[in-house]
Amino acid sequence: MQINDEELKNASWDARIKLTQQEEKELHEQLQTFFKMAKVLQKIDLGEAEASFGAIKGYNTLRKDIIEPSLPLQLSLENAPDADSSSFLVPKIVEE
Amino acid sequence: MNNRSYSARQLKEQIKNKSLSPQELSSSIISLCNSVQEKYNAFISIDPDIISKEIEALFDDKLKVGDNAPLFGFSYSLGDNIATSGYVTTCASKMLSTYKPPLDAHVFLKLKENGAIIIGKTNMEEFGIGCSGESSYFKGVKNPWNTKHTAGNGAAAAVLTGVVNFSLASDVRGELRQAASYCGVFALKPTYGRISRRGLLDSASSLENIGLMAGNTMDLAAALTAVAGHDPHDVTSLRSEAPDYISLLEGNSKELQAAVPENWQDAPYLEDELKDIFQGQLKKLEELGIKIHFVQLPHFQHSSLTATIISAVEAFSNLANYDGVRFGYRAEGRHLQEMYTLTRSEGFSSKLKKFLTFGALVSSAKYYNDYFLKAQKLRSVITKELEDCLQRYDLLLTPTTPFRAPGPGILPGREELPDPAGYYTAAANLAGLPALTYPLHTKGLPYGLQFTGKKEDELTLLKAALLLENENTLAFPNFDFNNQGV
Amino acid sequence: MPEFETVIGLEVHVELLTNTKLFCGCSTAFGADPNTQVCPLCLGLPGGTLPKLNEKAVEYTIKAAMALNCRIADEITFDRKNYYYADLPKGFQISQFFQPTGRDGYVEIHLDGRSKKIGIHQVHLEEDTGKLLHMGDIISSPYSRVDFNRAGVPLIEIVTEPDIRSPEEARLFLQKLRSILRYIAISDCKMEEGSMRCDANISIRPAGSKELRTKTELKNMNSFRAVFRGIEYEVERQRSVVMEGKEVIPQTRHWDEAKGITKAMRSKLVSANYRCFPDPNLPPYKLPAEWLEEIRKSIPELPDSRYSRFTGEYGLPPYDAEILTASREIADYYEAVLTGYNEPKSVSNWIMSELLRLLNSTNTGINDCKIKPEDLGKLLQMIDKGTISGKIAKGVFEEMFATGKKPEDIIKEKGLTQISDEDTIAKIVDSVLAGNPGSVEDYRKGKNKALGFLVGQVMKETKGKANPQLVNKLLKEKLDR
Repeated sequence: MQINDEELKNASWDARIKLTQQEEKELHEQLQTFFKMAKVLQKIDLGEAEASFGAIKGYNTLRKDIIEPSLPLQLSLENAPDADSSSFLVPKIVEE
Repeated sequence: MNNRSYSARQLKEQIKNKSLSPQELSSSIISLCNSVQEKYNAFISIDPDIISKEIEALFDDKLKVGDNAPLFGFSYSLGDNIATSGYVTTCASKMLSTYKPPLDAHVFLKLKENGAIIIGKTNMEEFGIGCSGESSYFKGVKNPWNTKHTAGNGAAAAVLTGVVNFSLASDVRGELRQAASYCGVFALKPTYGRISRRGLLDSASSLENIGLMAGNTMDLAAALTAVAGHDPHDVTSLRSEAPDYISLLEGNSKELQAAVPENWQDAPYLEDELKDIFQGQLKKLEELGIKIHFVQLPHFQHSSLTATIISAVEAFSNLANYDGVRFGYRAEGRHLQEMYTLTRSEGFSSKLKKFLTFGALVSSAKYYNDYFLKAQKLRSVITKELEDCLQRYDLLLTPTTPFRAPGPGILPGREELPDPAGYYTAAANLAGLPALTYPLHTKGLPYGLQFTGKKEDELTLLKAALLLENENTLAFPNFDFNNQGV
Repeated sequence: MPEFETVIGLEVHVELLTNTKLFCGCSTAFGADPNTQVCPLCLGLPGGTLPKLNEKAVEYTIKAAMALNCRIADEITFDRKNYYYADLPKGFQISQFFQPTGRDGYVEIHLDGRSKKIGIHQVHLEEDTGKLLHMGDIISSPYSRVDFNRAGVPLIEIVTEPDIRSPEEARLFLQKLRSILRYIAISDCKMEEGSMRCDANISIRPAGSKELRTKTELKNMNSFRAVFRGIEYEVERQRSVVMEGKEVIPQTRHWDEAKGITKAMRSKLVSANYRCFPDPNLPPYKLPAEWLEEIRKSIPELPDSRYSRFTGEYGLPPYDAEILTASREIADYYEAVLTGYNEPKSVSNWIMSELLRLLNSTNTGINDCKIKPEDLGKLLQMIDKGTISGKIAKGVFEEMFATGKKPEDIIKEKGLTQISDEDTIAKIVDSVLAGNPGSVEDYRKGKNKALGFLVGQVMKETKGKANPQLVNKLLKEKLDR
């Protein structure tokens, strides 16, 4: 199993991450071990096993629709890297 | 003053009869902290003012902290991925190096109620993923047994050096237990949901728990009693109330039946010396009346692979909010998407960047069914296998890690997917079962013995640990910080 | 020239009328200052709280799914849809991807005297995103402000089957959907305020063909009219593309209301690779059968069933029934009037022509209407009994609408009671005849119009209170004598 550079680039883009060449090389190496070990996933017979997606088999509970206090504006914006007096600010949405 | 003399119970006496002043106590604790920090880099934040204030409160007769509070005189630390509004909470990441969360974690509030004092926030792998000492923005934690090796995390080093009575840290695929094993201390990852995850900055919500470390079983039990129990604000927390573990530990234990996977020696990188030590322990346990049964657990060996895939995909999603908009590090970008990419590429460690890309890859449309979905199915199979086994036996016995603390001469020397350190530990995370590591002190670096138990049955694990502890004399190193001025 | 068939499927988002957000206690009130209705959870701050599911939002979703004739799932589950955008605080949206609350329902529309079922593929619950405020438009804006007040507000998404065949059907479907959702009071469904939003998947195919062709997704239609015009334009556009021998490109297009055209949006790396998986912080919620039963019982009679009853039981024409049942409040009002005055067609006429006209011209909702249903009934009875004339009644009605006074009080106050006493009217008739010899002459020469003039003069003398039938009768008697 070999992952091509394109696939790796798409995956890192989907995680909004840019790997350096060195990191790409290291990840390729890690993936070789991984895919070797992961062959077992395709081999073992999981029968009718259902995907579990969680450690708990319990059920959720519901909350009453009652308003609770929100954060004071100043606290909401406190940790923001860029904000004006009322909103978070983000750079230009559209490229080019 | 020797650090191990800080037994909380002794301290309580000293405070009660005032043979110690708050200033004396504060300054000795603070200087001990500083020494541990200087030598091992165990902490990310230590705030002497907070420590002094908490200690003064202990002595205050107007009783902010009642001396009948269950953890009166106990000191502890929190892993830096557990939210505290008073300290920055960094997850050992550049991304959060100045982040102050708006709320305190459930466990922090519980421990405050119970009278324990917080000493600081401990160092760890970035976002608590892994235990090999490579990804902390604040550099790795040195192992007090041998500083050329990693301690796994600061929580274990803090407990080992005695600067705290117990510490709390997270466990995604076994990190808490692995670090405890590397440092030769006790650790318990309780049943999923036994301790509320409110305020845990988690990377993999379905696997990750807050767990405890301590220098002995009774301290572990005392801390567990304080923080365990249902939290209505965490819908994944167990509905059942947690018992008072301390009082239950006093009762007699029945004869325990323990299972051992018959292929336990198949772990990659398993150290030869550990094979002998583990077999020796099995013999000892039999002498203590624990019956050993070798069992077949055909899928157990795939736990780490399974948990690595699942944790990577969940981390890919859980950490997507680190986008430089509402909090944390931001890099300048010409437009939104470039800002995202630069922020995340500069704010996360190289190791985490690769791990998140891996998570994106195995959940992408092309690989989703064959890897992510398969892993979730395998998770069900492993869970069933363990649950069936634990219906017949009281606990499952394995080494905690296949090797001692990574460092020179101990493999593996580099990152791997799946994580070989999780070979024995990851199954408990997949199945949400409680697991405890008991320290095995040898001449050099320590090993660990792991008990995995039935859902919600932390008590049996604590009983087994106590049984062993009462029979063995643990050889904790005697840390002498006197020349640093205590 | 080949015949084409239009194939349309709609995706409608509706904001639920809950007090709080889907997973936290922040208020959902409209129009608050930016970022004042947020907390660590809906801001996606690390180390905040964990999500707790809002009972009302689940109840409303189930109610909607039931009202749209769906099968209800056994449990409520949530999945994460992972993507990056500035209005999305967590880097994923929590939605129901694998198991929607409702499936396989339908909505019935009435078109050209026949009815047609539009299939509902699914109804699911999800959270809304925040709002971006640009400086000017999105393209030129050097930076944007983000307001997270809407982030986490509960939405339901209703996805239809591709059963819609024309812009008109799309509009009728949306109107019926809005009517149903308002009947069950789970949303105010205001397209202008964004509490109801509609995207359309549109394709065309040769008439008679069964397969689905390449579709475009049309967004940004902010009114029923825009939905109609947008789809109409897009269908024409696709038709001309095909007629030119080209292929329709699968893409997302924006409706430009001002220019009246649809425009393609840049389609760069927007792969639909959302990596959906069940949210590990939200275990399934098992729906108790008793609760489902309770919700089912709370659903009022819906427009279709009311429509049938109004046409059947009350014998109303389809047009009347459609209008009266479009709003639950108006239908309720109508039936309340009938309990005091059981003349269905006459009541319908008054509501449709008089009441709705005044409500619209004064921009008043039926709930704020000052005329009590029983008072309208009384007014109509008074016409029947001849206490007042129909013409006078309209004036009284307007007075009732403005003041809320009872009709009998207005009539008494203003002395509007109809004069039906023959002797009184005869005297007035005599004096009018005496005062208008020319008209009398004209009438006798065969000019019938003169009669109308004379009636008018009598009504004028009596300030309109004279019983018109009586005036007519007496005038004729005297003139023809």
